[in-house]
Amino acid sequence: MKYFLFFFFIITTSHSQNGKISYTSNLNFGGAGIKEATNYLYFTTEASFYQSELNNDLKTGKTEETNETSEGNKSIEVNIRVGSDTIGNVYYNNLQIKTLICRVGVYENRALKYYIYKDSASINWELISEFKDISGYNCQKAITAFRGRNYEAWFTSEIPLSFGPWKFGGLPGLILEVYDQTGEIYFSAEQIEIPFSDASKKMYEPADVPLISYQAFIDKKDDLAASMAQAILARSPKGTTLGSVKVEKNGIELEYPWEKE
Amino acid sequence: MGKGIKKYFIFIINCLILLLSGNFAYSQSVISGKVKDTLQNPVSFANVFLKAKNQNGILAFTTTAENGDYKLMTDKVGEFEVSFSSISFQKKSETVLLEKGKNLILNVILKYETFSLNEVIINTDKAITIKKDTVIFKADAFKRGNEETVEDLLKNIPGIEVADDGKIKIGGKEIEKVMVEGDDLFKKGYALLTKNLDASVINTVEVYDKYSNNKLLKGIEDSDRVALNLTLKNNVKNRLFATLKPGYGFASENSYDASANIISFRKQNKFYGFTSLNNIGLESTVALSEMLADNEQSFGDEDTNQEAKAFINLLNYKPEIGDERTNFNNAEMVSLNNIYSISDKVNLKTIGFLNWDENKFFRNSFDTFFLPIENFTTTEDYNLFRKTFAGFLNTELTYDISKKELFEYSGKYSGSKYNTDTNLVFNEQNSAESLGENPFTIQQNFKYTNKLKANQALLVNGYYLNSSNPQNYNNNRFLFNDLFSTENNVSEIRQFSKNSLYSFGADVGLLTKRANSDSWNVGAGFNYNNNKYNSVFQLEVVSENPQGFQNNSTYENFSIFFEPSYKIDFGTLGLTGNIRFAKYFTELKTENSILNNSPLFINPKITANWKINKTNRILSFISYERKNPTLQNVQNEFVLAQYNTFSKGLQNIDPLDTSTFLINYTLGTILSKFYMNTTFIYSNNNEYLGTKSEVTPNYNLNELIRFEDKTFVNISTDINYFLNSISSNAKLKFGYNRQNFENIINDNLRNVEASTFNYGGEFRTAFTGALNFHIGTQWFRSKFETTIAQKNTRNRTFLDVVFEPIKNLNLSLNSSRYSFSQLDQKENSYYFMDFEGRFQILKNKVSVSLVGKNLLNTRTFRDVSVSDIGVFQTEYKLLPRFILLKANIRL
Repeated sequence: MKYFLFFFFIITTSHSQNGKISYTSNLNFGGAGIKEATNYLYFTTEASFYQSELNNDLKTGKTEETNETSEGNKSIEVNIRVGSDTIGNVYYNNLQIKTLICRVGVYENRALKYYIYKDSASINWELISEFKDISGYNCQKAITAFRGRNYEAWFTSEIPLSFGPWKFGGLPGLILEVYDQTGEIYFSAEQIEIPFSDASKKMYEPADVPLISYQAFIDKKDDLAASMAQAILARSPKGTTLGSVKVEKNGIELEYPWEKE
Repeated sequence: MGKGIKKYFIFIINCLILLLSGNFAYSQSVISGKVKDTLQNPVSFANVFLKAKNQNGILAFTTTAENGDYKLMTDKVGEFEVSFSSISFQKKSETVLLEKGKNLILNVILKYETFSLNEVIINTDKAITIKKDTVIFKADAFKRGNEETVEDLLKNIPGIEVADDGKIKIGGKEIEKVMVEGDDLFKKGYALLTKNLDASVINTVEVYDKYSNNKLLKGIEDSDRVALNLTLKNNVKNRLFATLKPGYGFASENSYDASANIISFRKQNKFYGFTSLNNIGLESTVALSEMLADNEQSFGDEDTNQEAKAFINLLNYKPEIGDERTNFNNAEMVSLNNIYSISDKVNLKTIGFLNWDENKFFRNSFDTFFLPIENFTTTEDYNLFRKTFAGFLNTELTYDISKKELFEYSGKYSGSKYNTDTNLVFNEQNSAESLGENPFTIQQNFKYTNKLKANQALLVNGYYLNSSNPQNYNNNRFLFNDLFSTENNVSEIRQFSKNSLYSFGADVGLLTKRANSDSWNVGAGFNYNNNKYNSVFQLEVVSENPQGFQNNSTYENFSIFFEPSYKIDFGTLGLTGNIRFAKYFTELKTENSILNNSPLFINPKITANWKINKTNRILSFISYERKNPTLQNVQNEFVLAQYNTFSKGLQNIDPLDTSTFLINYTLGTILSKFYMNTTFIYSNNNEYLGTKSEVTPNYNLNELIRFEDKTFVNISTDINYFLNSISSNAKLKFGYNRQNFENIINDNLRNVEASTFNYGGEFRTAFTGALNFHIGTQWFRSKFETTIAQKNTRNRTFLDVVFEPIKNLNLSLNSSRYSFSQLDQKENSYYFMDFEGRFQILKNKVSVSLVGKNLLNTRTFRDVSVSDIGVFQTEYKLLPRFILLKANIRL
């Protein structure tokens, strides 16, 4: 009996698979220019761990440039750079409890601060009968509306993993490409390594910074953007067309569960 | 007992619900079961999905729970395939027959299989591709179905902003141009393209960052320019695109503003045609000047765009209330741009236009002169009528010799014919003038670029310019009795003048960018400039032309120059130093004298750009420049410049110098609550050209004379404070400048101190609602002090209101008030009000607008200005109120 148990243990461990998937992301929120980054998704049979590219060399802060064009017009460019600490933004997905534990940085009081929040929202995908080939994989289209954006994802059941970049996943195959309709968000798989034996070493449940509620986290993010946009508009010189002003939230998530009717 | 019944009742209800729900969900069938491995352990988180038999698409899917259970719901009927897959197991598929409302139980056992994959994904259909300094957007990925024009498509691409006037900004920077398939038809006038071209024809939008107009200089010159390129879908290259914009007076007599254009893009030949006509004061050539805008790099000191200057300029001053308010016109123009690719390596681009215009201009002046010996006034009632015919042709040829060599040629030909007739009542006596002008310019440029290394390029430029400006003037009144003692009765005066310019030169430049981002450039070359000036002044019936009023001079300049510059970065401090060595050989030849000079100029300039920290920035430069005087400065005898004014230069070709110091300090950023920008400029001339004038009621003689030591000081500042609570910005502006100079008026040497001081404030809202406004006021005080002081205060106040009650309707009302402190109390202020309402009927197809100008119907505007010799009041006649109904139709 003892012998048999030992044998069983060997089998289960040898079949717990792991891997690493690299995704490039192009986040393009007007004005700041496109940011391309490489992000890594590590997984085991129980969990996945998505880590955004670290921007160690990028200092958090904002830059601003005023250009005077020949006609005497002024244009102002404002970029907010959010760098990262040594860990950066991570999303830990425990498959058993179906909850994402997110560790994300915000620009607060002119400094970068990280918080952890739990996100248990599930993405309801609708499968569409459209197909395309990505690098030899037959991919099917799935669409969803998630937090104020309409996404299209291309997944392949040829790779039986229900993961994807950022908070995406839950499809019967790996997501190779996903983007939103505005084109501001774009993810594309770059490399797949299965198995990847160091995966479990890379993964952990983040707990190093304060845990706050999701709503508290979002409030922190929105505050700054709104007040800045108005400041710029109010300072535009005469001659610039005076139009009505809309302060837009930017970021991957535009709409939050409590905003829906 | 009660509890038992309740329990029973709940059970019945539950059964009922179950039963009913089963019936209502009549089409749903459920496939459920357990997934286990070969050792009977549950397989958790496995994918379970349903497909039609022998087909690709997944119709429904679920995953197994931790205990291996799954439940898949579907409303399909027929033969299907259920597949089970997980990363560590072999995929298994089972065929099932689905019937209405029938549930299936399907338990499966999966075999272990190790899945391994190490692959790089190559996605050829990416919506966004980023290469170094280039971002390519696949147009289809950004189409939402409701876009009509390229402009709409660009608005969908995040990061690209399009303003109402069509100006495109990327990352806050205005773009340089919009090319189509690499060809640039429009330069800065690209809005003509983006507002008219159909979005559906676009394949990709490419954004070029750090763009260089000369592609071989990419990465070598420092560039922060951005350009766009559009690639077209293959099947649309033969289509034509057109827009009509009619506009006609509505409740106002006979005003109109209409235009039309047509675009075509064939692979070999692309063209753009445009025509417009209006009588509401608009200059129709504005769009053209944008299409011709040039910002090429050249080392030559000489401005290669120069033209022979006119000496008589009748329309010499317009008030600062917008040119179109005083411009009574009737303008028509046509233009055609064309790009033809002769071969893969050779491209020919031509831009041609013809412009006809008739302008009327009316002014009424009352000038009071305060002079050392006497004071007097002059009156003038001036009506001008001018006919214009102008033509322009520009050809550009580019030849890609190889990947590293480029040859460019451009030739510009422009000619105009102006006929101006005036009706003048000067000092209560009538006269009539007429002026005929025929300016003509040919300019040719050759440019060769060779990219020697990845970080180094050689540029060779050559140019040739020939320009002439003959003028033919006469006036039927003789004002100069005191000047020319003649016994005859002079019935008319005439002046024939011709200014011609002939110039050529060549230069070589070497641009190098070092690895540490420092860069150094060296330029060297030569330039030859020949400027001839002839003028003949005649008194009718007098056989001998008055002496001292005839010009026949040639001014020649030959120069060779050498100019190194170096740019270096020390973290937050960037320094650029350059120094220009130029040896000139100058000759001024007149009928009875020759002046020669061969000065050496050493002109250094140092620029510093210091970003101290986030909120403090300093930009500063210091320079010293020596320069030869211009032809107008050295022209030896008097020439008539206006009906009562003669001017002449000083026969001295010694160089003049200027030292300049500028410092600009910025505190805070545009985002901070408090934001301030201050600039200080100081310049000094060791020797400068001042005026020596003889001013009389009937005529003025102005000549140049050299004085020493002139200083100019200017300081201006802008203070902003953002009021968060009402999301508005308050702004204060101050400016002060002062200069000291000397002049001689009627043989009196005077020291003049001239200063202006301006101050004002503005308030601009940025509400999120439909209504916004911008209000402001500004005062300008000027003061000239000699033995007496002349002062003047003017004020301009404005209120702009924008109201957007619904999505497709935009209403704006701009009003302004001008006032002058020196005018009679009764008439010291003028009010203007303009209105525009725009409504979109069919998005991007048809829109209408109502434009009202000068709604208060202000018919005259009286401006007042002062100088060290007097006070000048001028009344201008203005275009009356008009209201246009305009449409914009895209075909």
